[in-house]
Amino acid sequence: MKGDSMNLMTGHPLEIANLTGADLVIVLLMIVVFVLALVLPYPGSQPRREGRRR
Amino acid sequence: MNWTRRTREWLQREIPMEALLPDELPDFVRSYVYFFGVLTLSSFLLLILSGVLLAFAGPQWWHISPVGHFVNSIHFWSVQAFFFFMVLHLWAQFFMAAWRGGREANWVTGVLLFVVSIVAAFTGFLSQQNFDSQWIALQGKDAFNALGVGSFFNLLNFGQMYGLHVFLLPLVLAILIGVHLFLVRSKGVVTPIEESPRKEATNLDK
Repeated sequence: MKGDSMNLMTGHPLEIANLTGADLVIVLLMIVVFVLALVLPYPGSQPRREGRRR
Repeated sequence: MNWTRRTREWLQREIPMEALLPDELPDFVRSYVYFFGVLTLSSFLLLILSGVLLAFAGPQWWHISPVGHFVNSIHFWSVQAFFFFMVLHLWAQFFMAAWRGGREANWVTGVLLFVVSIVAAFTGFLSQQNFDSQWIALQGKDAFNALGVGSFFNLLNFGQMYGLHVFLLPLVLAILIGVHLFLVRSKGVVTPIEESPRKEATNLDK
């Protein structure tokens, strides 16, 4: 690709961050699991009262 | 006062057994967010267990025998789970600012655990002895030579990488995990931000 950085030894264009689809799928899965852990109610826990001040 | 007595009294004061093995936990711990740490620990135990089997039986076993392949895969997927849950644990502790209330040392041991885990996983990758790992070793050696540590940490030396992976690094990890867990228990789980004692002290309701 013209204008892009390239590997001076091989002449190949440099990959950005060397990411693959699998890496992105894992990060997406981590975000999904994290959000689920935040929003799913834990069995036996009290529902959170809004605007609680102690 | 002699030093044994001083040590005993310090231990009794600093490490009360009711804090180390509690039978009750605060209500805010009833959330799946608090699972990530113990899931990381469970993955680590599975790693040690499958790793002991692999180290005992040797490379021919994990490369050729079907059972060896199976245990090798258990070891591989355990490390995937280990890092998966460790990063989720990191996110959870970061967003609840878990270093509050004198828990800075625990945050630092967590950072160290993360760094040492990366080195342990990397030496494990090199210990697989397949073409992939040999290629990574050949490529990676240039980075370590550029850093000037190639003669101390030689990626092409299977014995060194394997020795670090099966003995030194797991030992360091186990000690750090011990300190990490001890600090969690001795300081207690960090309170949620809206229930922190500092806010109680301001008496906003009065």
